[in-house]
Amino acid sequence: MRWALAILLLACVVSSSGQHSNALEGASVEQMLEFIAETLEEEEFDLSTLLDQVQYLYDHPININRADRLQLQSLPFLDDFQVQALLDHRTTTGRILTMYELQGVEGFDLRQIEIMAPFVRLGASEAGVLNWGRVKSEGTHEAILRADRFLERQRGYEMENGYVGSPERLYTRYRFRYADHISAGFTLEKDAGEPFGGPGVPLGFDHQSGHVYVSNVGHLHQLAVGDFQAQFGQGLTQWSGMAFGRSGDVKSIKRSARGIVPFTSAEENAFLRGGALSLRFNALDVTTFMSRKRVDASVDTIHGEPMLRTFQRSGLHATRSQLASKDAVGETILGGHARYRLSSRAEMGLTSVYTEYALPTLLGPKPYQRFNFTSRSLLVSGFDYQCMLRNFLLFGESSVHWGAGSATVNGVLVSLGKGLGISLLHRYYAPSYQAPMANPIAETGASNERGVYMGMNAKLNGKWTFNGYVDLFSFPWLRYRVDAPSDGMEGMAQLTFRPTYAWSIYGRVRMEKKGINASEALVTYPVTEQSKTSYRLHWQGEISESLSIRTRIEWAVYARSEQVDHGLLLYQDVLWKPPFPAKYGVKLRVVVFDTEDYSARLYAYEHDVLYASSIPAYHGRGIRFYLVFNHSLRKWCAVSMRIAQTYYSDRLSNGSGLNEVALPTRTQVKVQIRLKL
Amino acid sequence: MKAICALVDIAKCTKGLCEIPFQHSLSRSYFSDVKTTELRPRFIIIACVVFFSSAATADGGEKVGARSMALGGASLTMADGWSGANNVAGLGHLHATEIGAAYAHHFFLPGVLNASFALAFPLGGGAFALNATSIGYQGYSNSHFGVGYGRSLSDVFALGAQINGIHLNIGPGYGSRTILVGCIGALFSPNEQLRLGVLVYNPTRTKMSAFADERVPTRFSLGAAQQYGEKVTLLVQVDKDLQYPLHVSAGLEYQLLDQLFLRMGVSTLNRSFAFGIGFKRGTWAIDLTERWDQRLGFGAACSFGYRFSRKGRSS
Repeated sequence: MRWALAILLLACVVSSSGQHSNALEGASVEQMLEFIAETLEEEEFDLSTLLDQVQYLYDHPININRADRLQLQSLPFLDDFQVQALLDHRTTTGRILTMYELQGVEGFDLRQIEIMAPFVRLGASEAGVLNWGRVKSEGTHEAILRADRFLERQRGYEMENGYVGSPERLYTRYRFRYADHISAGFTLEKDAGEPFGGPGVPLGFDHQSGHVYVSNVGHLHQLAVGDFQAQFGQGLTQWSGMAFGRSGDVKSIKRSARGIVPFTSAEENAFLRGGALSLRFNALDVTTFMSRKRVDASVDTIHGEPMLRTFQRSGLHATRSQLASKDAVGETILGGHARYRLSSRAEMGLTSVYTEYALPTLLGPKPYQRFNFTSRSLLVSGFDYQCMLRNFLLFGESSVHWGAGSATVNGVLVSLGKGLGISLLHRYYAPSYQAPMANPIAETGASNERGVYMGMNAKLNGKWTFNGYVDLFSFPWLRYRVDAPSDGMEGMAQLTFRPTYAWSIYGRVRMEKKGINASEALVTYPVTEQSKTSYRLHWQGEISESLSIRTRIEWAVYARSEQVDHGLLLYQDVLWKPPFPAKYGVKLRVVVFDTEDYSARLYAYEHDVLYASSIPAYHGRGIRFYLVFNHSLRKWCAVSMRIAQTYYSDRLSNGSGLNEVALPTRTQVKVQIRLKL
Repeated sequence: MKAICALVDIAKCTKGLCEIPFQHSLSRSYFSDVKTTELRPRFIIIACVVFFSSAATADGGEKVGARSMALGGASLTMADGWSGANNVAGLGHLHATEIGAAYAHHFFLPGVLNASFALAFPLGGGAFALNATSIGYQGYSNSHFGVGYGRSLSDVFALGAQINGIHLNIGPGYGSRTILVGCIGALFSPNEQLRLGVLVYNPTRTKMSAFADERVPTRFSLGAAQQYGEKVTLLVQVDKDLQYPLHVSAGLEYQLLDQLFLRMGVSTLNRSFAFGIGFKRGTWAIDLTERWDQRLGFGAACSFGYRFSRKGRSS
């Protein structure tokens, strides 16, 4: 997953400096994001937290002759086996003199080295000195200003009880960084429909975030003040922020926790606000963190007592009811983590997180809500480990929600050589396990789930690659819209053919089966099986140094009882990027889609301005295009623009509720300015 | 497949019923015949499970032996002492006499024990095989006896055929029946690393019973095995039973140490995973397998094999 992220970044930014061929690789991370979009049904992602790191590495390559394990692991395309092999190689043969020497190291091939090259350098084994002069002269400043809106008038802006604010979305961000030692910055955002300014919003923006972060200074491992994210173990106890799950890359089922990370995104829930401190003593890291903030929730008054009904996770505050739920409940989180490295190949950790809400939670009346926590506070503790034995990497985490339930996730990655890797993972999360800060590998969440996953990546020969996985899962208790314990499966198989360096083509089948209530009740709703299968053919390549294309056709079949719906999507991308000294690039896409029902919708990654990405769900019948234009005005200033329009041929108005537009079209424009010093 | 799913659902329900104490006076008065009360749920479960697992084992002439089970049943391309039961053409690659015995306990339910025996010996230019497998209990049992012959017709091609006697006993009161069915298999090895297999089981669509024109399942199977480096074999197989949708199985065998093999497999036939371990020492081989079926739970198998020669490795 991590290497794929790097590549996405290469695909969207770095190509501006003439590294072009890497754009091809972007496809793999785009696929991963599509997986997430399909699972979470989220359509927009703020990748800044994930991509910042990669961008910075590109500007400030790591010296692989000096980097320690943690630094090497921060290289987004190296897996644990490769990091280990590299360290072993350095120990036995000494300083690495040329990149091509790495071909002799297990797990590295020419292609991998070429992907990695922009991010590393072969320096001497000098020790870095941290002083104020260097921080001032070598630190970088980056600022982003972005605005976007829909051109059509949406119903919510014309109604009495509609959106309170204006239809523009405004986003601004600033960050200072020096190596991996210092980071400071802020992010401000106003979503479409949110009011700008007003009571309780001093700077005008609805979402305001800032941080100061210091790391790797003597015993001080990590220190954060302000907004940060905390990630430990396999995410079963504490993991804030986005994480990849099951996808085409089997290695992505193992999490690589980064501990305390500065939070720079416009995402409005997945962060902690307060302070965190991590100290390092030889083989032991000790971390404590504290967060106090208010979260969105709907609150009911029962017998004169306010009670928390549900959390609102959308982060939108555009209507009066959304504004009423804003910051309705205080949340306090206290946590600690200790990590001990037994050897260079084995480590273990302990995490404990105490969460307290200012109001008690109201237990919903539905049977599926039976295990939801109702106390004001809860304590969750977990033990995690990872251990490399020969070519086996074992990892896992087991957690207990004190007084309620427990959960465990355990897996193994096996590198069988010659590009063959397999992974196995077992998980069991009891229905009574309710950890609000957890985000482990799961079909639906860190509760009420049992599953076994098996995956494989294989390079069949120089040109053919196979990826596939099967995940069988069951839900011991009821779920929303599933009135009985149920089970399901998800599987994927993908065959990629890469005849030349510049061209690739893949075919993919993906299938998911899951229980759902029948549409008609007898006495109760019987649970039936719904299945969705999609077949995709995608090819992409470079026509010339400046021009590359991508083409996709995808067909989906959704079935549930007697209902069968089909969906079709076709798109063509044209990416035009003349080589240096030209300073601009253009990305154009035309999509045609035709689905019989929303259930047969299809997802596809769309290019966006830097640090943003969108994966819309295409449904209905129509045509969509977008155009992204990037121009580097100066070395320190770049401008991006995007216009996207959808035309629906099967309806006279589109959208629903407040988003409804009384036209068959929907057009979005976006402008971004990026300044870098 | 739908039928199997339905049966599994019945099995699940009856499994639930079993947990209801039938000794309860109400149940006793409801089912006036106590004997029926005791027999009913147990019979249904076992009949379902036997039907279901026999659809996966004996009837199709596959998934016999713990090694095959650990590979998700993708054993069409294997050539060893169990070839008579897995793909008779594998006998064409057999160079020494082998015997084997296997024992499988499906879903850890009483009455769903599966015992198998196999003997294969080279004769003339090819090899003969005798094998037997049996599953069930006194109320329902299903036994197979096979006699097969396979040989290599060239360096790259082997062919085999087998006659199976199926003995089905549903009692008491329904009686038993013995039927003969045939199967034909072929193996094609275009190079050292790749082996492709095909098997047609019961091409004659032999009748089981005149009632409702019930016939022994006819199945067409295609499989492939690819050597991956020196230590890894990948196997994949598709089976099409005339009655049910296509199902896909895949397996991986990894030689961790000289004498130790790790295996895993997956099958879409009612969604199952399998994990296995195998020891090979000299002329002896022992395989242990654990299989997990999403709806019916765990099962286990073990098999023992002995080869009467140190030469000629089976694969």
